Amino acid sequence: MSEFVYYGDPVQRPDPVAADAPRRFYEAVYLRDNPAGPHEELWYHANGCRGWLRVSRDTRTHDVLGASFAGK
Amino acid sequence: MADTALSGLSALPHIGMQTQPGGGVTITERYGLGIATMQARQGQDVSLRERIRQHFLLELPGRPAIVRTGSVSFTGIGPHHWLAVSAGGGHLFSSSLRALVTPLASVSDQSGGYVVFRVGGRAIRDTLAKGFPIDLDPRAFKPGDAATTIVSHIGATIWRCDDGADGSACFEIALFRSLSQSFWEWFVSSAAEFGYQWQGTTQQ
Amino acid sequence: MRYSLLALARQAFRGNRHWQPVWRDTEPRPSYDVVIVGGGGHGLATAYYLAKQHGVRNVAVVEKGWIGSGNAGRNTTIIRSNYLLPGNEPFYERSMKLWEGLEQDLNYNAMVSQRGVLNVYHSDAQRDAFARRGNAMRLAGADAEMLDAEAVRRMLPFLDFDNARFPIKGGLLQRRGGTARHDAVVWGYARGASDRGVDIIQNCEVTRFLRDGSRIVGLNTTKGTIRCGKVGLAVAGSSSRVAKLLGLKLPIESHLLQAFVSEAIKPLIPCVVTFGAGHFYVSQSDKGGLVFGGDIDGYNSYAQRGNLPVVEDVCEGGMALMPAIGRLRLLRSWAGLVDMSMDGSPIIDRTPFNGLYLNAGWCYGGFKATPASGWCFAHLLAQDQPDPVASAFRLDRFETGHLIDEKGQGAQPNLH
Repeated sequence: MSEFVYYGDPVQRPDPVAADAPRRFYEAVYLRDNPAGPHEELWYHANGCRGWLRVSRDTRTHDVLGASFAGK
Repeated sequence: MADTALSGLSALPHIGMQTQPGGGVTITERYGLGIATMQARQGQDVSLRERIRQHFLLELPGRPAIVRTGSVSFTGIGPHHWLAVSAGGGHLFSSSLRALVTPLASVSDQSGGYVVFRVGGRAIRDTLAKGFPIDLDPRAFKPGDAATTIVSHIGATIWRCDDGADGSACFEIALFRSLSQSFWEWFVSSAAEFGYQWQGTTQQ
Repeated sequence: MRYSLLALARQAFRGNRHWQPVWRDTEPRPSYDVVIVGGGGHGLATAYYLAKQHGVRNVAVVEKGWIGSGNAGRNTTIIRSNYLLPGNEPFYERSMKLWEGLEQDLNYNAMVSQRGVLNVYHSDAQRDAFARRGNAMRLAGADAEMLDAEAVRRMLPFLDFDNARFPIKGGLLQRRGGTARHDAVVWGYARGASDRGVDIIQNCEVTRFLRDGSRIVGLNTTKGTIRCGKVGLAVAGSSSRVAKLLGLKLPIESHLLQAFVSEAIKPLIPCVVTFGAGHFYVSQSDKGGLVFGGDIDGYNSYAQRGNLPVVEDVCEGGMALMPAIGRLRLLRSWAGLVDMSMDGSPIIDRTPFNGLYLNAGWCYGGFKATPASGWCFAHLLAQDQPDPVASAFRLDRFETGHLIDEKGQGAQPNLH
């Protein structure tokens, strides 16, 4: 639909061999802070440079507070 | 060899000499270009810049911008990623560029993949504003600035050229050649109120 | 006051000076058996059915703003029960049946209009998918009819049937579906609850939960402390914010859904129509405006304010389906704050805290669910057991793997 694609919270993949791995995967995949305020999120520049960005954005105002390449 | 080489076709061979009175904007296709994308291999960015500097006497842009030397230009289209265009270079350009930068970067020939349109005229910003979601105001988008974005759902890279002799703005737009007809239809419907002139292909 | 023709005539002869307010606006008392947080359609319906079906009348509904100020007043008023999965369809069909008897039950005109909901399809594969959905609906006791292109053309001759890219091949019609007047639904439930003793308290925001160990025993609010036996949360897009007061993380993201109204025109669209090759749905209000919407904006937001690319996308979908509306002017647009769950289906369940119950995750389909949501949440609050048609809407289903993912999209709420 537009230039950037939203990929949501930048969750770290849990350690799959940890004793409580199922619980950690459940939390990583399904549970969200969903804050009203500054939010860290991933955006993919699909119709552009194909880069992944880590963006800080206020969910109450849509103001972008900062952005950096996600790989760094 | 020259006798047997196939000559290139225009991306819009069926347009003819289309014109809508009004004189607002012009559009032309740059023809016979050598086009390649060049992507630095991991950790080779500095060496690649040095090699390009020595050969072309220019500095690869580290941001969305275009730099030129003679007939060759490099446009930043992503991190460590450039679009190289050679006027009149044809498909041989990518081979020579590849030979120059191997093994510091990967080069892919896009001479038949991309088309580059040059657009200008007094109403060109009003026309482009109907499709490009970015700010093309002269204060925000200066000569030499570039952007890889979309126009009417079509992925495109746009850069600003020097203004024309009459002071009107001039831009070039690179997009996938197979989407030329879609771009054309968007362009003429957006420019209709200002008037437009298709000026065919240019070798420059 | 009971509404009837006689009451109308009596009031008319007395100069219409003696109408009573429809419901009582009250201040909180010190304690209740049950406090419902959230004075939208779902919260008020819950209070109504608690009082009516379960005899639980010592109930308060606390609302941060005014009742119906959230999604209850921001939706596109569509009612339907055309779901596929066994966890969903019986629940939505229960809701459809409640809609059918709602006005008599509430003695209130909610303008329920069973004008039909038609989903058009554009390919053989989509026809097969719709046939499967129609069969699932009929198995759950709902109505569904497959129409071919000619039958659709008789209903809606102005659609772009011969569109080169998305030709219309037919449609799935639920004749019992349609629309209802969203504000009247809120007011009707408020009146029914209020008449049965429920306190409706506006401008009352919850600031803290009072706990005794893992048991919830009351609430601090902007109108003072309220003690209670049980708390039911029905706060839609604010669910995560309220749950955070207890340190509880939910499988929910808050997103924006926009809705639009055009200028009024003569009657054109006799039913609800949805586009099968993009996301666009439309009906025509009794005032004549086209009421329509499409996809959510696609990123977490609490702004209640949509963005322009989605406006363009929705209007493009409308133009692809019915080019005749091209000269219509958009009159108004707005956004609601929807509680997108991680599988696209709702949650009506207990929580890790004793005495705290959750009603959330309605995504962009909460309005049609209002009666059954209230019915089932009241059942859960009163009996501590889920109603059978809502037994799949468990909070722990994400951990146990019993997802209800109509779209098969996975844990990406912005794509549901």
